[in-house]
Amino acid sequence: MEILTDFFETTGFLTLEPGNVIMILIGIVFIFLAITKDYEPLLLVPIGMGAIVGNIPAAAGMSMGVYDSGSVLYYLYFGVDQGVYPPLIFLGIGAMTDFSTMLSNPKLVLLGAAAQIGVFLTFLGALWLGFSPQQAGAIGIIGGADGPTAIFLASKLAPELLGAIAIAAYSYMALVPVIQPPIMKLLTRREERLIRMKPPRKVSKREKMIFPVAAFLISAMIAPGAVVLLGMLFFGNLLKESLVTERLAQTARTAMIDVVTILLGFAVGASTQADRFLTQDSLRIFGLGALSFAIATAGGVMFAKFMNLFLKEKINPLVGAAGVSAVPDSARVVQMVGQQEDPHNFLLMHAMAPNVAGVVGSAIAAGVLWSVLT
Amino acid sequence: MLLNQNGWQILAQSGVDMADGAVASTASAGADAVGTSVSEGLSLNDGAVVAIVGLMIVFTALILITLFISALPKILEKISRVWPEVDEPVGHPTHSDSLLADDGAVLAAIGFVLHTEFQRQLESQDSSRQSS
Repeated sequence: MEILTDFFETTGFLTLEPGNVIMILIGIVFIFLAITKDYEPLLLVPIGMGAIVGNIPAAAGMSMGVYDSGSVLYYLYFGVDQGVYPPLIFLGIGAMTDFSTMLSNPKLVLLGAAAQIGVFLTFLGALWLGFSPQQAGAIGIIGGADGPTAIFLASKLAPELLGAIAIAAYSYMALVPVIQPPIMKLLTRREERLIRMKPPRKVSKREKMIFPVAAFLISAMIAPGAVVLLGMLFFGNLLKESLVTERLAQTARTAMIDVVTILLGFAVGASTQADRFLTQDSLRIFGLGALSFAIATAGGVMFAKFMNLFLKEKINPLVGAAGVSAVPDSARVVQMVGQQEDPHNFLLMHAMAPNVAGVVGSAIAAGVLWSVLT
Repeated sequence: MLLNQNGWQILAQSGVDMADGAVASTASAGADAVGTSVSEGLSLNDGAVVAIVGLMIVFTALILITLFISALPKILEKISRVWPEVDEPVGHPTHSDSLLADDGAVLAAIGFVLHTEFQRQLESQDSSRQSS
């Protein structure tokens, strides 16, 4: 009987804290949103399940959680903690990405730069709220709308905030269809939303092959801190475009990225243990993250309007919202909002240009912050 | 000058090679001071400098990429006069590349032909036995 009582005392029923219950509920909400609303299911399901697993309290003396040295989850979390997974995700993204639209209309690249204003203004906001410079840099990158980049920079600058930053980044990426449209409509007039853009020109194979190497050299020379992320991104793209490594590109964009996404999502979810996650800092990070997304969206839209002052062939300013690098969700949102005004206006291809430029821009921003703040 | 000395030092520490010689000269002298200020906490003013410089670096990189992309077709046009582009992929398909999704259909067709051929041979053998 005594053994049974001792065992009962180790079960979750007695050791579960209210914070754990809240985190388990949040995990369930993530899974619910992924299944019913189709919000980033490939990320929210692993993160949600990870949050549930990570918040089951371990029995005393048992090494189980991501922060318990020697546990299985500890080793899975190693890839997050040391920034191993994000570059591998970038390799897969590179092998998936078609830079044709960007190559056919290079001026749209600037919209990907303009949206990074969200990163740097949020950095300032976080400093103002009393976060350390390193923490502020890691929080600011949420505005890049790029989960792997946010995790990479947080692991380097502020590992203690990694869980909150990762969850905030992925949550807001999942909420792109909710956050962006009101801002886009608020900042544009109807006639601007009706602008039709010239179809992109055909891009030669040579252009596509040369681009990843040249773009990497340009961006890495300017921001060496971005070498790892951009190196893997453009390496993945070279595998795709070189036409001689199709097998490697196929693996990178399917099996490999899937495996890493599962490990990354689950490990990040499991790192949200209530005692570390349910803090005032997390709430402030979520607030700053939302602000960051809004500013980034507004920055892209406003810069497109600014460019229109000088351009003969006008840009539909909605396309600027795709400068946040939530690929391809923000491009889809541009298409959706554009078609609400004109069902025959197809903006998706045009929006993909600032979208992929945003990936490059946010990686450069991360590299700059990493270099400056370490 | 838009940036104060600390801003230039931070910029220089980030590895950016600026044309302005002042950056290089202040970089080594100020590196220690910057390291201290970053670890102790940036003031909002310094933070603003980092933000402005950071955004400028992002813009610079993407502007250079834009210029490169704009120039690329012209460069390739000149190259193609010497080295014309071919449409076919350079690489030869490897064994696994040739195992495509429609291989199943091909195998089924081969199987069907073999089966039909064997049936025909068996029938001809049977008929020759009966006739003998």
